[in-house]
Amino acid sequence: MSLNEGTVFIVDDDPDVCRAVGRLVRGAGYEVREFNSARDFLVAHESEPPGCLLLDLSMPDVDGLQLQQSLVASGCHRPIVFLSANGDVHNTVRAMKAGAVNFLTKPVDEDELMDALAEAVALDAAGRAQWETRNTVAGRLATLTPRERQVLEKVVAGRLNKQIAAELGTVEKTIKVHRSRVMQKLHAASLIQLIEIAKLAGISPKHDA
Amino acid sequence: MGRPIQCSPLKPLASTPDLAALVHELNQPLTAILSNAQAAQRFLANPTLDHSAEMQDILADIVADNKRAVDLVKKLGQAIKEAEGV
Repeated sequence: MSLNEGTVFIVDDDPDVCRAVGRLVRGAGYEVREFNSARDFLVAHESEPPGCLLLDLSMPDVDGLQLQQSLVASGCHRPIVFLSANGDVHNTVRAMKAGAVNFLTKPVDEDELMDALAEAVALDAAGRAQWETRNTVAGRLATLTPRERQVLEKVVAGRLNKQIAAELGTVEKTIKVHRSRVMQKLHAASLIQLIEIAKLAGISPKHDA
Repeated sequence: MGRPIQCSPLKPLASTPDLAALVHELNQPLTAILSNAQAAQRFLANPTLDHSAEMQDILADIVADNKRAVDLVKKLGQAIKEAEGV
Protein backbone atom coordinates (compact mmCIF):
# COMPACT_ATOMS: atom_id res chain seq x y z
CA MET A 1 0.00 0.00 0.00
CA SER A 2 1.42 3.35 -0.96
CA LEU A 3 1.67 6.00 1.72
CA ASN A 4 -0.10 9.13 0.67
CA GLU A 5 0.75 12.47 2.22
CA GLY A 6 -1.41 15.50 2.69
CA THR A 7 -4.77 16.43 4.14
CA VAL A 8 -8.07 15.76 2.40
CA PHE A 9 -10.86 18.10 3.52
CA ILE A 10 -14.18 16.33 2.97
CA VAL A 11 -17.36 18.42 2.81
CA ASP A 12 -20.65 16.49 2.54
CA ASP A 13 -23.98 17.24 4.20
CA ASP A 14 -24.75 13.51 4.50
CA PRO A 15 -22.95 12.47 7.72
CA ASP A 16 -22.90 8.76 6.74
CA VAL A 17 -21.24 9.50 3.41
CA CYS A 18 -18.80 11.90 5.05
CA ARG A 19 -17.79 9.34 7.67
CA ALA A 20 -17.51 6.42 5.22
CA VAL A 21 -15.52 8.30 2.59
CA GLY A 22 -13.41 9.73 5.42
CA ARG A 23 -12.52 6.22 6.57
CA LEU A 24 -11.62 5.14 3.07
CA VAL A 25 -9.40 8.16 2.45
CA ARG A 26 -7.76 7.77 5.87
CA GLY A 27 -7.21 4.10 5.05
CA ALA A 28 -5.20 5.26 2.03
CA GLY A 29 -2.84 7.19 4.30
CA TYR A 30 -4.14 10.74 4.06
CA GLU A 31 -4.97 13.01 6.95
CA VAL A 32 -8.72 13.64 6.86
CA ARG A 33 -10.88 16.51 8.10
CA GLU A 34 -14.64 16.06 7.78
CA PHE A 35 -17.28 18.79 7.54
CA ASN A 36 -21.06 18.45 7.22
CA SER A 37 -21.62 21.88 5.69
CA ALA A 38 -19.83 24.45 3.57
CA ARG A 39 -20.20 26.95 6.42
CA ASP A 40 -18.47 24.64 8.92
CA PHE A 41 -15.66 24.19 6.44
CA LEU A 42 -15.25 27.92 5.76
CA VAL A 43 -15.11 28.68 9.50
CA ALA A 44 -12.53 25.99 10.27
CA HIS A 45 -10.47 25.86 7.07
CA GLU A 46 -6.78 26.67 7.26
CA SER A 47 -4.89 27.05 4.01
CA GLU A 48 -1.52 25.96 5.47
CA PRO A 49 -1.81 22.15 5.44
CA PRO A 50 -1.01 20.84 1.94
CA GLY A 51 -3.76 18.77 0.34
CA CYS A 52 -7.06 19.03 -1.45
CA LEU A 53 -10.79 19.39 -1.02
CA LEU A 54 -13.32 16.63 -1.73
CA LEU A 55 -16.57 18.48 -2.14
CA ASP A 56 -20.20 17.41 -2.41
CA LEU A 57 -22.06 19.32 -5.09
CA SER A 58 -25.60 19.62 -3.74
CA MET A 59 -25.87 20.78 -0.16
CA PRO A 60 -28.46 22.97 1.58
CA ASP A 61 -27.58 26.65 2.26
CA VAL A 62 -24.19 26.94 0.56
CA ASP A 63 -23.69 24.34 -2.18
CA GLY A 64 -20.45 23.02 -3.62
CA LEU A 65 -20.25 25.45 -6.53
CA GLN A 66 -20.83 28.42 -4.20
CA LEU A 67 -18.14 27.17 -1.84
CA GLN A 68 -15.76 26.82 -4.78
CA GLN A 69 -16.52 30.41 -5.82
CA SER A 70 -15.94 31.85 -2.37
CA LEU A 71 -12.64 29.96 -2.05
CA VAL A 72 -11.43 31.25 -5.41
CA ALA A 73 -12.56 34.77 -4.47
CA SER A 74 -10.62 34.59 -1.21
CA GLY A 75 -7.45 33.68 -3.12
CA CYS A 76 -7.37 30.08 -1.87
CA HIS A 77 -6.18 27.76 -4.62
CA ARG A 78 -6.61 24.46 -2.84
CA PRO A 79 -7.47 21.96 -5.61
CA ILE A 80 -11.05 20.67 -5.58
CA VAL A 81 -12.43 17.24 -6.51
CA PHE A 82 -16.22 17.27 -6.78
CA LEU A 83 -18.31 14.31 -5.71
CA SER A 84 -21.92 14.42 -6.80
CA ALA A 85 -24.99 12.19 -6.66
CA ASN A 86 -26.35 13.87 -9.77
CA GLY A 87 -23.50 14.83 -12.06
CA ASP A 88 -25.41 16.75 -14.67
CA VAL A 89 -23.49 18.27 -17.56
CA HIS A 90 -24.32 21.86 -16.67
CA ASN A 91 -22.86 21.68 -13.16
CA THR A 92 -19.88 19.63 -14.29
CA VAL A 93 -18.97 22.25 -16.89
CA ARG A 94 -19.39 25.07 -14.37
CA ALA A 95 -17.20 23.34 -11.79
CA MET A 96 -14.47 22.43 -14.27
CA LYS A 97 -14.42 25.94 -15.75
CA ALA A 98 -13.94 27.35 -12.25
CA GLY A 99 -10.85 25.16 -11.87
CA ALA A 100 -12.04 21.87 -10.38
CA VAL A 101 -9.52 19.04 -10.81
CA ASN A 102 -12.14 16.36 -11.31
CA PHE A 103 -15.84 15.65 -11.09
CA LEU A 104 -16.82 12.22 -9.74
CA THR A 105 -20.26 10.63 -9.46
CA LYS A 106 -21.64 8.82 -6.43
CA PRO A 107 -21.28 6.00 -5.63
CA VAL A 108 -17.59 6.38 -6.44
CA ASP A 109 -15.22 3.42 -6.67
CA GLU A 110 -12.04 3.71 -4.61
CA ASP A 111 -9.63 3.48 -7.58
CA GLU A 112 -11.30 6.40 -9.30
CA LEU A 113 -11.40 8.37 -6.05
CA MET A 114 -7.75 7.66 -5.21
CA ASP A 115 -6.55 8.66 -8.69
CA ALA A 116 -8.43 11.95 -8.47
CA LEU A 117 -7.14 12.70 -4.95
CA ALA A 118 -3.54 11.87 -5.88
CA GLU A 119 -3.75 14.22 -8.86
CA ALA A 120 -5.26 17.02 -6.77
CA VAL A 121 -2.72 16.66 -3.95
CA ALA A 122 0.16 16.66 -6.47
CA LEU A 123 -1.24 19.83 -8.06
CA ASP A 124 -1.40 21.47 -4.63
CA ALA A 125 2.21 20.52 -3.91
CA ALA A 126 3.40 21.89 -7.26
CA GLY A 127 1.50 25.14 -6.69
CA ARG A 128 2.99 25.55 -3.23
CA ALA A 129 6.53 24.85 -4.49
CA GLN A 130 6.12 27.44 -7.22
CA TRP A 131 4.74 29.98 -4.78
CA GLU A 132 7.63 29.34 -2.38
CA THR A 133 10.23 29.78 -5.12
CA ARG A 134 8.65 33.06 -6.23
CA ASN A 135 8.53 34.21 -2.64
CA THR A 136 12.20 33.40 -2.05
CA VAL A 137 13.23 35.14 -5.25
CA ALA A 138 11.11 38.20 -4.40
CA GLY A 139 12.75 38.35 -0.96
CA ARG A 140 16.25 38.22 -2.46
CA LEU A 141 15.33 40.78 -5.11
CA ALA A 142 14.22 43.18 -2.40
CA THR A 143 17.79 43.23 -1.01
CA LEU A 144 19.19 44.78 -4.22
CA THR A 145 20.08 48.48 -4.18
CA PRO A 146 18.38 50.63 -6.86
CA ARG A 147 21.66 50.68 -8.77
CA GLU A 148 22.06 46.91 -8.60
CA ARG A 149 18.49 46.53 -9.81
CA GLN A 150 19.26 48.79 -12.79
CA VAL A 151 22.33 46.72 -13.62
CA LEU A 152 20.33 43.50 -13.33
CA GLU A 153 17.70 44.78 -15.77
CA LYS A 154 20.37 45.73 -18.27
CA VAL A 155 22.24 42.42 -17.91
CA VAL A 156 18.97 40.56 -18.49
CA ALA A 157 18.36 42.74 -21.54
CA GLY A 158 21.63 41.41 -22.97
CA ARG A 159 23.83 44.46 -22.43
CA LEU A 160 27.60 44.04 -22.06
CA ASN A 161 29.34 45.50 -19.01
CA LYS A 162 30.95 48.16 -21.19
CA GLN A 163 27.57 49.24 -22.58
CA ILE A 164 25.96 49.28 -19.16
CA ALA A 165 28.78 51.44 -17.84
CA ALA A 166 28.30 53.92 -20.63
CA GLU A 167 24.54 54.00 -20.21
CA LEU A 168 24.78 54.54 -16.45
CA GLY A 169 27.64 57.03 -16.75
CA THR A 170 30.27 55.04 -14.90
CA VAL A 171 33.22 52.74 -15.58
CA GLU A 172 33.18 49.06 -16.48
CA LYS A 173 35.00 48.08 -13.28
CA THR A 174 32.16 49.49 -11.14
CA ILE A 175 29.57 47.60 -13.19
CA LYS A 176 31.53 44.38 -12.68
CA VAL A 177 31.36 44.92 -8.92
CA HIS A 178 27.59 45.61 -9.06
CA ARG A 179 27.07 42.61 -11.25
CA SER A 180 28.89 40.19 -8.97
CA ARG A 181 26.93 41.52 -5.98
CA VAL A 182 23.68 40.94 -7.88
CA MET A 183 24.75 37.37 -8.67
CA GLN A 184 25.63 36.80 -5.02
CA LYS A 185 22.42 38.29 -3.61
CA LEU A 186 20.21 36.34 -6.04
CA HIS A 187 22.19 33.11 -5.53
CA ALA A 188 22.89 32.83 -9.24
CA ALA A 189 25.91 30.76 -10.25
CA SER A 190 25.79 31.66 -13.92
CA LEU A 191 24.32 34.18 -16.34
CA ILE A 192 21.73 31.61 -17.47
CA GLN A 193 20.63 31.11 -13.86
CA LEU A 194 20.48 34.85 -13.34
CA ILE A 195 18.19 35.24 -16.35
CA GLU A 196 15.94 32.42 -15.10
CA ILE A 197 15.72 33.97 -11.63
CA ALA A 198 14.90 37.37 -13.16
CA LYS A 199 12.19 35.76 -15.26
CA LEU A 200 10.66 34.18 -12.12
CA ALA A 201 10.67 37.62 -10.50
CA GLY A 202 8.88 39.07 -13.51
CA ILE A 203 11.86 41.00 -14.89
CA SER A 204 11.74 40.52 -18.64
CA PRO A 205 14.42 41.63 -21.08
CA LYS A 206 13.44 45.18 -21.97
CA HIS A 207 15.30 46.55 -24.96
CA ASP A 208 15.38 50.14 -23.83
CA ALA A 209 17.35 52.77 -25.65
CA MET B 1 -61.40 13.27 -39.19
CA GLY B 2 -59.57 12.43 -35.97
CA ARG B 3 -61.11 12.68 -32.62
CA PRO B 4 -59.99 15.59 -30.40
CA ILE B 5 -56.92 14.60 -28.34
CA GLN B 6 -57.94 13.59 -24.88
CA CYS B 7 -55.98 15.00 -21.99
CA SER B 8 -54.71 12.28 -19.72
CA PRO B 9 -54.83 12.92 -15.97
CA LEU B 10 -51.96 15.19 -14.83
CA LYS B 11 -51.13 13.23 -11.70
CA PRO B 12 -48.32 11.04 -13.10
CA LEU B 13 -46.35 14.08 -14.34
CA ALA B 14 -46.24 15.53 -10.84
CA SER B 15 -44.31 12.57 -9.45
CA THR B 16 -41.44 12.59 -11.97
CA PRO B 17 -39.30 15.00 -9.91
CA ASP B 18 -39.99 12.84 -6.86
CA LEU B 19 -38.62 9.82 -8.70
CA ALA B 20 -35.44 11.71 -9.64
CA ALA B 21 -35.05 12.93 -6.06
CA LEU B 22 -35.46 9.39 -4.72
CA VAL B 23 -32.88 8.00 -7.14
CA HIS B 24 -30.52 10.81 -6.14
CA GLU B 25 -31.12 10.05 -2.47
CA LEU B 26 -30.54 6.34 -2.99
CA ASN B 27 -27.00 7.10 -4.15
CA GLN B 28 -26.12 8.42 -0.67
CA PRO B 29 -26.44 5.16 1.34
CA LEU B 30 -24.96 3.23 -1.61
CA THR B 31 -21.92 5.55 -1.54
CA ALA B 32 -21.57 5.13 2.21
CA ILE B 33 -21.85 1.32 1.99
CA LEU B 34 -19.29 1.05 -0.81
CA SER B 35 -16.79 3.37 0.87
CA ASN B 36 -17.19 1.67 4.24
CA ALA B 37 -16.66 -1.77 2.70
CA GLN B 38 -13.62 -0.63 0.74
CA ALA B 39 -12.22 1.12 3.82
CA ALA B 40 -12.61 -2.16 5.74
CA GLN B 41 -10.72 -4.01 2.99
CA ARG B 42 -7.89 -1.51 3.30
CA PHE B 43 -7.79 -1.82 7.09
CA LEU B 44 -7.71 -5.63 6.91
CA ALA B 45 -4.91 -5.51 4.35
CA ASN B 46 -2.80 -3.71 6.96
CA PRO B 47 -2.60 -6.23 9.83
CA THR B 48 0.01 -4.27 11.80
CA LEU B 49 -2.71 -2.24 13.50
CA ASP B 50 -5.71 -3.36 15.53
CA HIS B 51 -8.81 -2.16 13.71
CA SER B 52 -11.39 -4.20 15.63
CA ALA B 53 -13.13 -1.17 17.17
CA GLU B 54 -13.32 0.63 13.83
CA MET B 55 -14.50 -2.57 12.12
CA GLN B 56 -17.49 -2.73 14.47
CA ASP B 57 -18.37 0.89 13.67
CA ILE B 58 -18.01 0.20 9.95
CA LEU B 59 -20.30 -2.84 10.07
CA ALA B 60 -22.89 -0.96 12.14
CA ASP B 61 -22.84 1.86 9.58
CA ILE B 62 -23.15 -0.58 6.67
CA VAL B 63 -26.20 -2.18 8.30
CA ALA B 64 -27.81 1.22 8.96
CA ASP B 65 -27.15 2.50 5.42
CA ASN B 66 -28.42 -0.74 3.93
CA LYS B 67 -31.71 -0.28 5.83
CA ARG B 68 -31.84 3.30 4.64
CA ALA B 69 -31.41 2.09 1.05
CA VAL B 70 -34.13 -0.53 1.51
CA ASP B 71 -36.57 2.16 2.75
CA LEU B 72 -35.76 4.31 -0.25
CA VAL B 73 -36.26 1.41 -2.66
CA LYS B 74 -39.70 0.83 -1.08
CA LYS B 75 -40.57 4.52 -1.50
CA LEU B 76 -39.28 4.40 -5.05
CA GLY B 77 -41.45 1.37 -5.84
CA GLN B 78 -44.48 3.15 -4.39
CA ALA B 79 -43.74 6.31 -6.37
CA ILE B 80 -43.38 4.33 -9.61
CA LYS B 81 -46.73 2.63 -8.97
CA GLU B 82 -48.35 6.02 -8.42
CA ALA B 83 -46.71 7.45 -11.54
CA GLU B 84 -48.10 4.56 -13.57
CA GLY B 85 -51.52 5.26 -12.11
CA VAL B 86 -51.83 1.80 -10.60
